[in-house]
Amino acid sequence: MVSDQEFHQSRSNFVLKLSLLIRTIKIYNPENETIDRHVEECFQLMSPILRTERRLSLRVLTDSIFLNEERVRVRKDTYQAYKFFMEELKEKKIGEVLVTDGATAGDFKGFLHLLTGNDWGDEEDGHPLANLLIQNNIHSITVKPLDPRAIDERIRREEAKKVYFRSVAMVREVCQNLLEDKPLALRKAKRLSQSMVDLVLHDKTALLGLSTIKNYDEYTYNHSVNVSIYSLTLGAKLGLSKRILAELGLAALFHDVGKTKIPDTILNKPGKLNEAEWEVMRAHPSMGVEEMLEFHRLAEVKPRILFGVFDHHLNLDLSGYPKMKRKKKQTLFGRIITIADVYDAMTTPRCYRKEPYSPVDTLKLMWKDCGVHFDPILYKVFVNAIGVYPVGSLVQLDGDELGIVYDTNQPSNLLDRPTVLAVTSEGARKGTIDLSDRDERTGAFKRSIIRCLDPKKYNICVQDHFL
Amino acid sequence: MQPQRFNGTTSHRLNRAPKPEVSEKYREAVGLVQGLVKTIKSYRVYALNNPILKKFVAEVHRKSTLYLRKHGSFRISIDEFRFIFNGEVIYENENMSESLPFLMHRNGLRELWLENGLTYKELTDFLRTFRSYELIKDSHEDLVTLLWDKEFPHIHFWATDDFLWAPVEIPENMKQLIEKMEMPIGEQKNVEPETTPPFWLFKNGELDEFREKVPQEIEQVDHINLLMILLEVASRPGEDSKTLDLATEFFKRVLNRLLIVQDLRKLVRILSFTRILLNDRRLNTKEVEFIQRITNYLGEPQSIDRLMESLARFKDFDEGQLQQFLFLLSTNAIPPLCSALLKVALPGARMAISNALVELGKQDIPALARFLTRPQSGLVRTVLNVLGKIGKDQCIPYVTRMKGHRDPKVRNEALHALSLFNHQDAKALLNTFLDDPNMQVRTSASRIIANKLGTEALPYLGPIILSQEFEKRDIQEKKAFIEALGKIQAPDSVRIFEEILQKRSFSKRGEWKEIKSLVESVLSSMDLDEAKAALGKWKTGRRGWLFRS
Repeated sequence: MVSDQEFHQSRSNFVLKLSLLIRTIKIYNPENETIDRHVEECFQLMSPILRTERRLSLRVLTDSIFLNEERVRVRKDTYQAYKFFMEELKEKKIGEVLVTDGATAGDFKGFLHLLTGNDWGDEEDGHPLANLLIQNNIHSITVKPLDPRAIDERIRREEAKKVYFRSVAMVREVCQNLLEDKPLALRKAKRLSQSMVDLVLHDKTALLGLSTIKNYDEYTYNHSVNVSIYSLTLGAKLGLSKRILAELGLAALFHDVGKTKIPDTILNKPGKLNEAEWEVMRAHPSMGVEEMLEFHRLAEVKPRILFGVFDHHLNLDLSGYPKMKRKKKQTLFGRIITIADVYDAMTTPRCYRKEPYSPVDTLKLMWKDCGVHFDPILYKVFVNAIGVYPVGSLVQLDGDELGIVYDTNQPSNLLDRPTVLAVTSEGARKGTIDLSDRDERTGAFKRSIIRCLDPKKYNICVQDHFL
Repeated sequence: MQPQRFNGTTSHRLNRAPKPEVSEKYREAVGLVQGLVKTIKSYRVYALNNPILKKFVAEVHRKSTLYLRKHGSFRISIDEFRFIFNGEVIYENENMSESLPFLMHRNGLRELWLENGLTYKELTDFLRTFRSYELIKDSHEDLVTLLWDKEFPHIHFWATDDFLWAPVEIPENMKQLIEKMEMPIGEQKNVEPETTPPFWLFKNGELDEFREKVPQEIEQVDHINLLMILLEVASRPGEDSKTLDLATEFFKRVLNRLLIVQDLRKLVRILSFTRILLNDRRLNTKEVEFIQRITNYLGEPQSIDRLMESLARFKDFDEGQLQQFLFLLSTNAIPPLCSALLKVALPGARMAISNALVELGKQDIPALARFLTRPQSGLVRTVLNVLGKIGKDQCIPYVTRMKGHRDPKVRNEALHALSLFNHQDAKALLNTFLDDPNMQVRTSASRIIANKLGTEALPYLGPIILSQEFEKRDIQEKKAFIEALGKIQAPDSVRIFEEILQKRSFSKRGEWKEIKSLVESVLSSMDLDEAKAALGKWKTGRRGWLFRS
């Protein structure tokens, strides 16, 4: 019986080997003996998968490679090879390589030579390499074109914006309908959560960028959507299934639904709350569950959604609220939403605290509460998902240049080296810089972050770069 | 695969006859769609491992592979009652209860297409999705979500979700959004600069270890945790019971799901936990009410019916878990469990039910006894058996009433049930069965009385055996009474045997030898000097000599 770890390791090794092989073929003469040896070794790694699963499919979906529908896990040592392989396929607009049972080492070698060659002819019907494979009598291997959505970042970002603002509108509608006792459209929320899941799995930064929108006026609505995005980003990094992620997204969207029953005078009170007001405030997770139970009359609400709503202020050590007569564990959904909720709340200006914390400072402050309020491992997963310099942070680069963090880099040792959008002091775009790039000669990183900056002080609106 | 709106219209050319030039492709498409419909229907009827179902799946996979290899893809539009292929109606069924196009259309699906590369596993997963939907449809899960969740690489669909395409206001920049805000956003708070260690780095194996635990926690909903949350919410202060009602309804649906999928382990855990909770003195009235509603719900007819249906569907259930679950039910489960006995054929399940009725019946004997008036004698007999096993004195009158039942099998069961009581009244009643009109009952009664009453049985058995009327009875009955008399082991019974041996007319012609041999054998098995003496006397006597010669 192969353990889960061995299973993923074997797949990761195969991608690593394939990536090295493609690089080698690009450098050496096709008749070189080293290539034949590498082809044979790579084919040996592939054979057990072909034997047991009858096919081997390598699919590229934005930031991930899927081998027979399983996401290939990236390790520190395989990251560069993984990235190279993905870029290679993307550049050649290949979305999927499909090897069927019966493929020989010869077929595989032929495919690799065609893949690394340049003369593919014109695209007629399907991918040109697919036609070339047939012409070369290689029927056991085929390729499919890359989904345009995976290539065109602009399309994805547009889709993300629609989903983001529709979600804000949906939360607003739900809260208003609750106040007016009107029917609720849970199916709408479900579909939006599913769309968010698709976006997070395909390109998490599209939505993460939008979560930098902190709308004070509509705090609850924007906050709910932001918490949902952060929760999904964390959940996806943790490897939760789509079904569970969709439930997590819903739980996060509705985590504060109980606040609709709290008077605005308490919710928007600029000063400290008195004990009686706190009492009301502390009841919002229970009231949220009540509201979800109302939803349940019309459509199914999964138990896990109630977990998220009820547990999000409970804290890991149960020091939070609601105070229960009988102790219970804080659920995974509760632990995830707690992290996402606190992170968004701290980075957002509020009536009682007009100055928000910067994303980087927030992460540092939250770290101090790990093990008490937050699950330490989930917290690390969270930081690994959103980055040490979260998307939307304004940073000063060496060479006195300003940059807005645009994308995170993996694995963990490159987390503090994101991709940034260099901007002028007026906030105009200059281009992207990948801070994980190294000087080929010295091996040192080409550029680095010097410090974080407050966009407000520099009069730069980072959100505009995601809208 | 993302659920998306179908952008086309439904104004297809609905030609019913295929055009000659496309007829072959059309025919293949018809074959494929019929295969799909037939297989999806079969999933409703057959168990997953049924060979017929497997044959259908293999056939539809063969057809789809052939079609997709030849034509690349297979795309159909979904109308309210029809599947449309290339503008032609390819399948039509207007029966709303079974129409596949109607089911898909109602769920918002408008187009479905399959692509070359479709694997057997993918196809079976797709077909099974419909089965899952059917199984859980009372829980409002929608088909689009179930299909979306699977992320089939070679099966795609379009679903209408009009709201997703309704106009939405997207600001071009933050200025547009901020203009509406009342409060200007302040500058970021300054945190004292400090160097932090790279806290985001995982220790060796830390993440893998955590990831391994996640499926356990996430896939298995912790129902105890849920119960505690609902208990907390249901018991919030307030005069009305609305939240209590909502919480109960929610948990009932959860329980329904567990009953349907026959997750007896979880049901046992929940019921055991409610027992513990009920002993908690801190419980307030609403909490007690909530717990009682939950436990009572599992004993209600619809819950028992659900469980029985599921037992019939997945026949290899855990009998131990079923027994434990039934033991934990409340007494309101007695009537539905009794009714279930009429429907359930599985011996393991019947045994578990009657055992549970013994336990539950101890707390409410009249509820159980009500079923003695049912016309189904099988049920009445089981109830009598249960009453006997309960063994409480309150049961005796109910059992006694069955002495006059028209069905001899029932009377026989009543006799057996009565024999299980130690109360004097029950013992006294046993002898009345010796006069039952049915021979089987009388025979059983003779044995039972001998076993139960010992020497006290002699005054009942002796006179009957020696009566002239007894001589006319069937040989089997006579033998049974003689054996019963032998079991008493009383000197007085030896005298009765002696009388039988001396009798000339005790038996009909031809039975004489059999009876005398039996008496000899009974006497020899009796551990009494009187018996040995009587046997010796008989063997050496004239009649004995004549009998043997």
